[in-house]
Amino acid sequence: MSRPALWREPSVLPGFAPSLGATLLWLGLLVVAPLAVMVATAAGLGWSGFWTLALRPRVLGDLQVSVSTALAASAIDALFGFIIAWVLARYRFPGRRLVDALIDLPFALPTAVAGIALAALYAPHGPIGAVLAPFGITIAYTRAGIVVALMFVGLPFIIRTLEPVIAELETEQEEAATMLGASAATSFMQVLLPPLLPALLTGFALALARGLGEYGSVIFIAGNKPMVSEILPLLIVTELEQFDFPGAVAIATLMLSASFLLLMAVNLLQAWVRRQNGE
Amino acid sequence: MSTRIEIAGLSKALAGQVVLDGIDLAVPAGELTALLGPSGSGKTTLLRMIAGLDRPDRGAVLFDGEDALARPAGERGVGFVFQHYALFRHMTVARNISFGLAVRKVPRARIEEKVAALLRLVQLEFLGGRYPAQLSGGQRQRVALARALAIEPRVLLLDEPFGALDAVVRRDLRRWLRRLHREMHITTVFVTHDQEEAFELADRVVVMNGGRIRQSGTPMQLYREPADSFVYRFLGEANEVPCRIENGFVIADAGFPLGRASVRTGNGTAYLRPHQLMVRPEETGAWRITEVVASGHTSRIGLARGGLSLEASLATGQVLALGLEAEMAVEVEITGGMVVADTAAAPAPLLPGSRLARPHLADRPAEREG
Repeated sequence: MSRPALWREPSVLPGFAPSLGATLLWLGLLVVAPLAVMVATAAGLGWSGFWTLALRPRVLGDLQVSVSTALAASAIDALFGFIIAWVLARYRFPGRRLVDALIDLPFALPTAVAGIALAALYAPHGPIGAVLAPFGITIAYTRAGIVVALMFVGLPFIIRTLEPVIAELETEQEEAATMLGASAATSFMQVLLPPLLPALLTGFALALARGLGEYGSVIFIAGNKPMVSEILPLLIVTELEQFDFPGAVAIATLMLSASFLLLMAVNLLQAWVRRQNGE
Repeated sequence: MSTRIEIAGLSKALAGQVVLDGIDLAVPAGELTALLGPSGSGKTTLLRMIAGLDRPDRGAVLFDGEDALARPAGERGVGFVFQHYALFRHMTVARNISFGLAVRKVPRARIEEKVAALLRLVQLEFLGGRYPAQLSGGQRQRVALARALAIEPRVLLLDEPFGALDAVVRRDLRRWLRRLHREMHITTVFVTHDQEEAFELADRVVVMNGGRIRQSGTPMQLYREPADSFVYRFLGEANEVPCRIENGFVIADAGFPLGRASVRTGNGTAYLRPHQLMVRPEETGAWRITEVVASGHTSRIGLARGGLSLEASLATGQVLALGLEAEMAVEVEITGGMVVADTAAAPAPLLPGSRLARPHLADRPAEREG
């Protein structure tokens, strides 16, 4: 019997049964219980009651704002995060450790602080906003502002997931491609990128998840105009402040489902890439 | 289709450190040449410069008389096999092999034909659909070779091709590569730090040290006439014996004769290979066995006399037949070796003839001039 043998695999950690028990208990308490309460409350609304609340035009408009800005921010982060991770993994330069430390800052900074700082920078009279204003570009208090805030909070996820994988990649692989006559573009697309793609997608999924749930940094720089520059989490808070508990729960459940579907799609894509890579 | 490689005055310094110092080398078309040297000798850098992966500060690399340095690596027609193979992990064996053809836009039917032929050549017919992670070290090495050969290179370069393999696989692969080279006759240069590998495989061995070529020639030439003591020592284990040369007689500083040599009088060093020492039991022998270590079919015998320690190597069967063991008194006959006088760089062969030594010289206490 292979199964019991696997269970009795010697290990410094406690056996399978207690550790799985701890895992389930912990996940149950921390993750499943609050979500279950939310879903149960939503279920209490009844099928038609839930849909009436969830499918209000303002809710759908805000959902569209949330999803599109989070996707855009994660995509831009993926591009620039890739470049930064590449530089950090491949090059040694003075100040590298400082740059390395800076990257984690968005993790640690209270998001409201970041939001206020970004708003000040990108406001029409702010240092960056003033530069962009003559070109007719306004960042603050528009959807673009939301994207900027989400890029800020999402960037470290991309870099931190990519950097170790890039560091592991042998430079000999690029040299091998060069010796076989591949151009730089071909080397990148066919030799370098494929093994990095799963990690890039993981980073993208983390940044996206963070972006969908982000609240603090966004509300200061977003215009918060319903269906244009208002994110769904803000609407939830607004409804809670008005003691519209059923409305908030319905939105939250909708948002949870949307996030779940998006992340699942990314995971499936990742599984597909891994299969292509023969892993 | 074989290409002749000529290298002239190739030099490179990195961060003030000289990596290559005026390398001149000609690799005849179709020959198998080994670059042999310790780590840091510059052999890999030289190989990478021929490939185009590194650029020299000065000097020229010519393929059939045409300037190779003017072309980027991918256009030199060089097949390169990396030390750790550098196979594309996310591609199947077949895709790895076809990569160079695909980037050259070779028609698909032709690629498939070619890949099948190469898979047969490297004896991996049925593994085209596998990924590198599913292969053994020796199989990966052969895939790397097939990938390099796919582009029909003028020159094949291999960096420590057998370094990462275990002994048995290494030996088989070496013989296989030798056969392959005989069939294809493609100009090949490989880097190794293993003299046995260099001697067994190569038509010509280039010994490098400190960014310079110390000697180049056929394995036999190097073994018979090493250019200096570095080459001699690098080509095999050697006992170093400080000695004095008096009228053609070589006397160890420890105070006994070693043999004869055509060197002027003076101080120097004698180099004796372990297999050049014949040991036989002799109750009145001047030598004492310090240890006997059997390692397979040969055994190492530690020998001592008058403060000098030497190591001999004998067939284990012979050790058993002679009944050699530690603390036994023995007589040692020196059958060959090399002497380098302090005043001359060129070594002279050590000729057997200790018995011809004048009696008063034998067993004289150590005394060095100067």
